[in-house]
Amino acid sequence: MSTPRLRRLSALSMLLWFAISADFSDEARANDQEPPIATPASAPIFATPIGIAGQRLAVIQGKYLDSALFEGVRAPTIPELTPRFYEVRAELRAVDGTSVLLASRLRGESGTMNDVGTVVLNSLIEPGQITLFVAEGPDLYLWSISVPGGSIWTPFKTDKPWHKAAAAYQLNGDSIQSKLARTKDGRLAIEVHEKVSGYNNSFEETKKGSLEFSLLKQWK
Amino acid sequence: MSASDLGMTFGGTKTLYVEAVKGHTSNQMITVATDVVGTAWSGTVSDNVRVTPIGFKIKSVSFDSFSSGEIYPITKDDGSIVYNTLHWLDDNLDGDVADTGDHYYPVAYKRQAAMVLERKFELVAPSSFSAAGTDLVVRGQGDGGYEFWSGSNDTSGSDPKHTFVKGTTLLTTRDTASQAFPNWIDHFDPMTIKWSFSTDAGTNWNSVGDTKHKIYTFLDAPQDILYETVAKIATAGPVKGLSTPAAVVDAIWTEFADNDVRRVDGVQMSYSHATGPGNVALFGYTAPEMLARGDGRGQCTAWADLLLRTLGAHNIESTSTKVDPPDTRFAVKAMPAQGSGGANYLVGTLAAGGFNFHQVLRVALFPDRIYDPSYGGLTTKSDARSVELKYEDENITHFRFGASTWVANVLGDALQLEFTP
Repeated sequence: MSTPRLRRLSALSMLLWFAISADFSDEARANDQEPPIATPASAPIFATPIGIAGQRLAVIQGKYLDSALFEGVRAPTIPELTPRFYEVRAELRAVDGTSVLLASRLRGESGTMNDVGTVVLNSLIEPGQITLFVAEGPDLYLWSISVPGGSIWTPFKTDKPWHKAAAAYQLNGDSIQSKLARTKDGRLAIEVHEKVSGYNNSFEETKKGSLEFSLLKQWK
Repeated sequence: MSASDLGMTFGGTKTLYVEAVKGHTSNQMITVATDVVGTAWSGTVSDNVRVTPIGFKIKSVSFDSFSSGEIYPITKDDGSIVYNTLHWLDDNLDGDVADTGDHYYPVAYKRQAAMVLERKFELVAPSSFSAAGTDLVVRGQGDGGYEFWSGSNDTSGSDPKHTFVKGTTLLTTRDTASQAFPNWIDHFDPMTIKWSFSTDAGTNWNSVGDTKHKIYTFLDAPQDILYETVAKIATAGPVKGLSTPAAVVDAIWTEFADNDVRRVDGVQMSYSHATGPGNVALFGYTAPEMLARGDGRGQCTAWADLLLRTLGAHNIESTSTKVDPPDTRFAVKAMPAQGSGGANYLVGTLAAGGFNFHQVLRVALFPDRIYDPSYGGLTTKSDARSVELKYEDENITHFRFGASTWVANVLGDALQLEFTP
């Protein structure tokens, strides 16, 4: 079967670190390993239209993985904490169900009670570039995915803090609101609203592509 | 009492004033029977004496200072009222300030200031009564020996603040207290002033009633808005009687150190990071926000602000200092906090995920101390370590670097926390 839509996807996939498979289901992947040891089950956590042909960007949180897999390779941690791991995948999904892996990363939860889950707060879809603004536990990150090929996962680096709250709250779509945009000269601009303090923060990239930001304005 | 006790002669007349009967605002007719004993008459004679009571009720008291700039307005904790006039008001003249329309406001002065009081009396007297023609004197006797004296015929000019104005039904008097406040912090809660008046230049006195006032004195002018709870903490208990800033700092700190700080309404304020539905903060970020909340909750910034404002009420310099982690976060040990009732407060510990930052206080007089009012903690330099490192060693258990790497704080290592400023 070869449709124009699939041909476009196939051409794109040649340049990606990808997998195209009707069998790219979470169940099939899980069958290759030990039975999952924890919840939540693998589930889509974000989806947004991405192309003119009805494709969607989907972000999927995988099941918790057996931490024994990471013995000897994970970063050392303190004995008080028991980290947990799962995979997070960003996929391009066609209308017919075909999936292309755009990027994948391993999420490690530190074991503290506020460090659970992955939440995609916002996305900026541009030709050649997908930018996701992500909350994991009490922290914010940028996931910059190039199309085709490559991705950068980085903490949301700012010259001044965005939070007025001293406590490290678990972040989610209810506690943080955000906007992503580009300045006229192509720098990434991000607005963050911390609901618990009521403060808005306006940041701009210090220079195009740096993924480092300076605070322009903070207001309530 | 015989007629002679009243100075009455046979067939003569005598003007009498008696203290008004409570509850009556109009003139009351009373009958005085006199037995006339003498040689002109052989029998008992009754004479009717018309007595004209003067209704005299205290309506309001307003405070001022003899020298300008020595009285400071106190603000209600919720910020809704600035108590700058009519500090005591009995609007319905029923003798108390407990009714709708009444109020009872605190007053703040600089130490050694002299109070000036303006009081208004509801005066009910017949039109024939003339204060100007009478040697009418109003006197207030306050706790601590503070006395107020204002007379209709006081023209000596010895008190430039003195006024005595009788309107149709309102008598307004104003004068300076007989003595200034002492050179130390004072705290009256309350100061009772007993009011009385005389129509014979002070030979005989008639009680009008008492008024009660919360009066606080301060070392110097407050640096910021003086909230009611701040004014109280800054002058009450161990602070009263002190006159040196260093001693005041220590005494005020004892009010925070036991983790039991009460607002003027009795609510115990607490260190909190609680949130409600929709991630709405159930705590204040500043002292005014914490004071205005019904539950009196505040995060570290509010507690540092409260201590700063309390010291600042005496113009004692301090700085609210932000404590940042070396990288992304730090965790504190489990310890009791304000309002926790002695139980450990767990937000900010490692298990709970630590803090983004914390807020403490530094006092200019004591550069080797760090005050942590959220936990009632005081760190004082006592060895070769800097006070910052000692604070870190005593309170911080772990640091987080990057996204999820927690590292134990090793005692004796170099300082990692960042204190700003």
